[in-house]
Amino acid sequence: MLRKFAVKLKNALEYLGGVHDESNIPRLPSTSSYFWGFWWGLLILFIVAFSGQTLKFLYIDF
Amino acid sequence: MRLGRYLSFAPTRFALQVLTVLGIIVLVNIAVPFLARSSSPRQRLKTIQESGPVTDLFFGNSLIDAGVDARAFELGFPGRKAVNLGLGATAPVEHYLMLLASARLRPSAVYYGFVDTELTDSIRADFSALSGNRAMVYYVYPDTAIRYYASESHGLEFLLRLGRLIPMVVDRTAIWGRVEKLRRRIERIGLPAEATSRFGRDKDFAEVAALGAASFRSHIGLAVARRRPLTAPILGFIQTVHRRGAAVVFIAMPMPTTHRLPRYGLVEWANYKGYIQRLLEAQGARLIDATDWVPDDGFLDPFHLAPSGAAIFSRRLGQTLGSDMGVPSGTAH
Repeated sequence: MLRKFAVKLKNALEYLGGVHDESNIPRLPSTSSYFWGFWWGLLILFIVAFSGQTLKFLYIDF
Repeated sequence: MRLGRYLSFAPTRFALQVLTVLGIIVLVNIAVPFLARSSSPRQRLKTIQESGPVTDLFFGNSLIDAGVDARAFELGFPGRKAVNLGLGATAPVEHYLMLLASARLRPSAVYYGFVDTELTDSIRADFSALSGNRAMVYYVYPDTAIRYYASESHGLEFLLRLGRLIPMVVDRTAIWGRVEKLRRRIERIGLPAEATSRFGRDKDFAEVAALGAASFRSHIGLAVARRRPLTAPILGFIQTVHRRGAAVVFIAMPMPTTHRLPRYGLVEWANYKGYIQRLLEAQGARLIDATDWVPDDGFLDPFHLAPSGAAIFSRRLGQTLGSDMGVPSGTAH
């Protein structure tokens, strides 16, 4: 499995470097714009959620 | 290089993605107020709204929040009805805003608990400091808060005015606090539980307690030498209480010996205490020094009173006020 992955990676890099004319890179599954919007939104939320400084004193009663 | 295939740009697809992202951000801004609906400042505002007639109101930071046991106070001072509006991790400006928000209550006496040099220290705060409980500056008399915090900084004023419109900014700690709690839970997996109170970890307070002891002497010495005045929100606090026809009493809050001895045993502290007493009396306010009222076993951590200590302090405060402090006897209304 590792060997297979290494071969795919090599092929991908060679294609990007212009060694081959035909791409062997597996295409990402076709997804809608809404999917990608959701994906970027989720990433932004993760960044916001984890961008707080370490709070030593919470003082919050939820 | 054949990156074009991956970088191709389709305006319609891009616009849809941006709209989806914006939709998610809007949804989060709808969800955040729900997460923060029971934040400590809102709990205090609710207490004010739902409170019946009162005679005594307490303001201050977590020392008051943890330290005032209203029932014990009422036992020490029969006939009174006390409400504790102390709010952790806040500063004099927020205490003044909370006083303004309590206008519907008509107490005959108002108390302000403080520690060390809180009454004369600078009230400066930046954007990042005004989060957590201090985020009340965005929704409790925000113009007053801006006057105190941003009178010299148009940048901060802009951020505060803009931030007010965005719940994700106002109550960002509602998200960060939960992340921090999760982080702490993960950090302690497989380890013994840490000593923690509702205010935080004991070890964090111990670190804070250890800081500043060395510079305290010069700090209070300078405050007296330079005749540092009571800060503007403290003066505003006193004037507002007087306008409402109530007495105002400042309380130097109980501290354990680990805090008291290295600081309050100094000659400079005696000078500072006398100095602020004169400043307060000039404003028609009284000062009670309760720093040594509670034995060390009455504390949760290096700062906060445990419920047993709060009962001792509050009952003694009630007895003291009832006997000789000249607090108006008035009935609750």
